[in-house]
Amino acid sequence: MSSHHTMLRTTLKGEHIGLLERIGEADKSYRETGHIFGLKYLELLEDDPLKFDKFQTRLIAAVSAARETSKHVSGSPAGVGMGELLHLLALPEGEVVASSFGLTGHVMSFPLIVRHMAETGLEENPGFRDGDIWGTNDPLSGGPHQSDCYTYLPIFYDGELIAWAAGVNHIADTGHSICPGGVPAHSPTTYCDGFTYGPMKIGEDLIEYKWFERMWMRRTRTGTLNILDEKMRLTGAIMLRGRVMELIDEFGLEYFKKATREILERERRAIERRVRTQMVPGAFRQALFRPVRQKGMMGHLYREADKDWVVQINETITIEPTSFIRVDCDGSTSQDYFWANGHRGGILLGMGWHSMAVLVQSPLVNTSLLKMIDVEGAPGSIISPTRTDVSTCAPNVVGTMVSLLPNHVFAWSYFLRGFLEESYLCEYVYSVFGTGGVLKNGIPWGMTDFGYVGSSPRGPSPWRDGEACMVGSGNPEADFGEVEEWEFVEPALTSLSRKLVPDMCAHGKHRGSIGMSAAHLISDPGQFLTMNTMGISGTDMLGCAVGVCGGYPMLNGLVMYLHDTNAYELLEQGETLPTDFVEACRMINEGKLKVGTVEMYGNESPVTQLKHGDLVFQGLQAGSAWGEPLDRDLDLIKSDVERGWMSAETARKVYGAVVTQTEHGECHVDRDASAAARQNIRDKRKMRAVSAREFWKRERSKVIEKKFSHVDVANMYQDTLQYKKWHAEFHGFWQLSDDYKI
Amino acid sequence: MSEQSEQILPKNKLRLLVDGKLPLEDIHALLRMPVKDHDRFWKYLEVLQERVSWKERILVRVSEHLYVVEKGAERIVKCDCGQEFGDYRINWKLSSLVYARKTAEEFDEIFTTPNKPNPEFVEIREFYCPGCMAQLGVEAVPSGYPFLFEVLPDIDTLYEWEGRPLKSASKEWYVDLTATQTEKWAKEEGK
Repeated sequence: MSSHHTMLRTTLKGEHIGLLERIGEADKSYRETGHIFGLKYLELLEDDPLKFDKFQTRLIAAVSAARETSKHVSGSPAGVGMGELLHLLALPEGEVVASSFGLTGHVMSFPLIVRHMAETGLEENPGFRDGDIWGTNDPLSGGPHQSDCYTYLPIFYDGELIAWAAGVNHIADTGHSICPGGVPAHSPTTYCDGFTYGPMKIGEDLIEYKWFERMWMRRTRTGTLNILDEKMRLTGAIMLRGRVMELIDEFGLEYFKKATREILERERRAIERRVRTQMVPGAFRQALFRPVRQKGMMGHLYREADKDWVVQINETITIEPTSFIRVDCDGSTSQDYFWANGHRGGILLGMGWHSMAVLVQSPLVNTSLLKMIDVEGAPGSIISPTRTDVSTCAPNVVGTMVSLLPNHVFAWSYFLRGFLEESYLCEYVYSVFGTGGVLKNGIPWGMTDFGYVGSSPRGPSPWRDGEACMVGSGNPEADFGEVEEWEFVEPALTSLSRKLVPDMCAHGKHRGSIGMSAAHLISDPGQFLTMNTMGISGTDMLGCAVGVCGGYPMLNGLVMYLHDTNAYELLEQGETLPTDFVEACRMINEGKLKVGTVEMYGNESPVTQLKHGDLVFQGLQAGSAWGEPLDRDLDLIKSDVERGWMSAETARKVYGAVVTQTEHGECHVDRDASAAARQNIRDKRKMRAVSAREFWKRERSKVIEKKFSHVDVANMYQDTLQYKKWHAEFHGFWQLSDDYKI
Repeated sequence: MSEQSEQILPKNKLRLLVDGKLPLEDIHALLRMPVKDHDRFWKYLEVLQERVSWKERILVRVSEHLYVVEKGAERIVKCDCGQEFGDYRINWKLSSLVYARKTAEEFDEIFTTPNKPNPEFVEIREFYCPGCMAQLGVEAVPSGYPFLFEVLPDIDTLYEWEGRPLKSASKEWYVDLTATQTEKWAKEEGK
């Protein structure tokens, strides 16, 4: 033990080393040795694995107990009902060594916050003291977006900073100036972003300052819930702090310090080994596109933001010979006056929660993944914003979109190496919506509805279909959310249904998950009510650009607002209301459902005013498919038709499967007729397709003449071609002259 | 195959896994294995090789239907039907047949619910094998976007990781040569 003691003291240079220097030392030792904290040998683990296991089990118990106990302090449906909460234990340098279940992506963001504090001199002024309470939700300090609030305590032992105990959760409303809730799809500038604070000291002697409560009440629509959430985070952090003291009493301070470091290095090695032994190295090209529309909405008030975009996310994901995974986003759209600025905390949060399940096999959720993966983007692009005036309201959404694509690659890579059991498209396709207004009695309110966050699909594998509503988005508590709980906090929204929609899936050998629909009837909203939506499903351009192995990519989301309907008259007549948007469209066409105006959007809708009797439908979360549709097993298609997940017409049209159904619902597949139908589809393909060269020649002339399908597409190229690697790729592919400009 | 490998995943079970027929409980058992079968890649190659009628050695799979194979001194992409797509360092899509859906009517064949793509912003490109007309790839991109090179495998590093480096190993094998093909086309087009 004495030799470990000596080594630690040497590395840390005694107790008086500053935080910034300490982080610098850690970075240096990793850079020089390739091992976290330079740990070439895992001495404690190797000397006494049982003791080590006991220690790490205590850590897991400590973070879990903090979360499971503290969540009952809060009253927010996200925190209590869906467990959108995480407690974590970090080393002084910010590296997270253990975290509870919950929003696990936050283990990637927290180290940024600690670094930010060190770099901005907060250790000197106001300084870190035992009993201090700190907090932040600012994406410029490493947080993912304003909704995710961190409360954390420095843990001291004999006057030395030895760890941080933190709690983080997604609050109900951030006080965004335009969009109630916390996931705005329209945000022209950071000065609309809502209540943004820290990193700052929000209490001392383990008691929060009174003014901080007042800030929550004053600057957000859900002050009471947010204060309860604050107390929840703090309760868990204090519990965790206490457990750390107990652990040190039991194992000793030096053991605690060294073992926590060894855990990180052990986990890093496990990821490295997994990549090296189960994946195929190489360069994988992916992309994703999303229209962002603000033109006509911002008008005279925010002229600089009154425009539309097609946002491009370009990615080359390289699995390198060292097993390091590099995500190069060169050629992605430039930062601007919209929501789509991906500050680093949000990008890394996305990488953490998307990749954790695919790359990490560990009882401890920690930061080791950060050492094996990185996301790079040109400064000034949405991957690496440099301006301080652009909105920081949704880096988490950009991060989820950015991180979805490497996860396609990981599935692909496992498949190529033969580890099919590990291969699945991990797509956290969450959707959320914000509501708010003023009740009859004059009370203003707001809410973020997480009901669908807990029902992401599980993507398909090379051996099975995607499955609907299977997983939480980076949260283990997968469910649809409790409808009643949401209705309680959203008094004007009556939930009509949540269901799967037949035929709403990406087609392939293994089809994507069937998408879901949700329907709400607006009842007695008081003085006024608004709703806005945001999510990861596609808008207009599908959810991602590359289908996997011949399958189709993730579908678009959909939001449909039906204003001035006869819904209540239908109810009075004993009629049934539509339960999804397909039924609604049918009933409108039949003349049964009368509607004044229809507003239809993709995944994101602007803030929309709603009245008593209006109907809202959402279509969500139909993930990508895997493989050529004509390779799909006929029996699987038959089963889909039998279960009502696919119409016989779609089965025939897309899959060439001839399925007939009896009046009792039994299905029969005609194999000979199906073989002929499939041959017809192949013949049709042959008739319609052209050689790649012919296509290239035709499209190249359009590119040269700058004839793109829409002015926003032309603007996208005009912007993104300033970035060097993408410029070279675009010019190389189309063979353009050096002076070509859009 | 070693005894350890045979115990973890015998080749007949791997065949079932490749076919999507391995029972879920067996797959779950594989997922729970603390240590994988060390020769999985080689078993996989054998299973894949026995399914194709041609003789060239498969170096690595790149898609459901496509493989990089060794043909003399070359490494080319080949479909399981036998169709060849040329040097694997050039995006195989340049040797495929392409059908781009650009109108709402063309989208309707594939997207049957109201949340369809918008043809003003995106086209759906389908890439077919000229030999068997299998759909090998799909792209949803704005007009004018270059073909996405889905995967350029670093084959030599892979074989090094597997402890059996290829004799033909060279840094030249891990280079994207797609632009050399389009350059050739541009010259031939005289522009």
